[in-house]
Amino acid sequence: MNNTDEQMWFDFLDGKLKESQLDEHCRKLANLYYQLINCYFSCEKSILENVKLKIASQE
Amino acid sequence: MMELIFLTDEKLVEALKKGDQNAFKILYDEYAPKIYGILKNYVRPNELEDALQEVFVRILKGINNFEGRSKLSTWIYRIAVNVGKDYSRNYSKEIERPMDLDSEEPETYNVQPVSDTNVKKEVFNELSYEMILEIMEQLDEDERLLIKLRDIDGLSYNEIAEIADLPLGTVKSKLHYARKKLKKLIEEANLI
Repeated sequence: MNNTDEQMWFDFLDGKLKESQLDEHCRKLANLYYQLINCYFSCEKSILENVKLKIASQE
Repeated sequence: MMELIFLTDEKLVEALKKGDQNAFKILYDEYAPKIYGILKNYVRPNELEDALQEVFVRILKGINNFEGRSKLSTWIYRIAVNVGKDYSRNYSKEIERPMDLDSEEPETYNVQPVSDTNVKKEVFNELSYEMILEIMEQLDEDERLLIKLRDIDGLSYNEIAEIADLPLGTVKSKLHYARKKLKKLIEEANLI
């Protein structure tokens, strides 16, 4: 990725560019980037439910 | 029952201070997934449930002293980061402690997710969850935190600075570096 593409990438992440303004490579990269971080930080619903029940039972 | 769904932070805090169960449910549903993501930066998978519970216990204990000097979300995120860092510090102490050769308990930690999650099953075809972990864990805790707060939760730089207890300029430069590092990792994994 050259410097121009890289700047385009950072501008996209900061909301200065729309996805439609990206070139093909940047668009693929953005797609992977968001899928990766969304997956990594995703929740396990069973844990959320368990904790909710535990706290509710303590109150 | 009070209609709390569209409450302002002020009204929500007021209801929480009165012990309103419905207010707690609204708070929990809104923030538990976000807090979980924060904790994931610092806490081992098998301790995430305890850590999440601890964050909410601290929120409920502290809410009476919450004066609204910061946004409710900032205050909650800060508690989550503090709990996460407490766990992380304890892990560091474990590593520093000499190994107990007499112990019969093997010190194994489950680095995989504890249970099935719907999201994992929706993961893009070309990338396994193991690979995601491998890539993300090459970032340090602060780098992951900044990416989470900015690129997932969409917080402002000022709010992130307050939550992460870092100067604004440091947040911007560290986030820039973290994004660049993650981009490089994605490219090096030949996923594009």
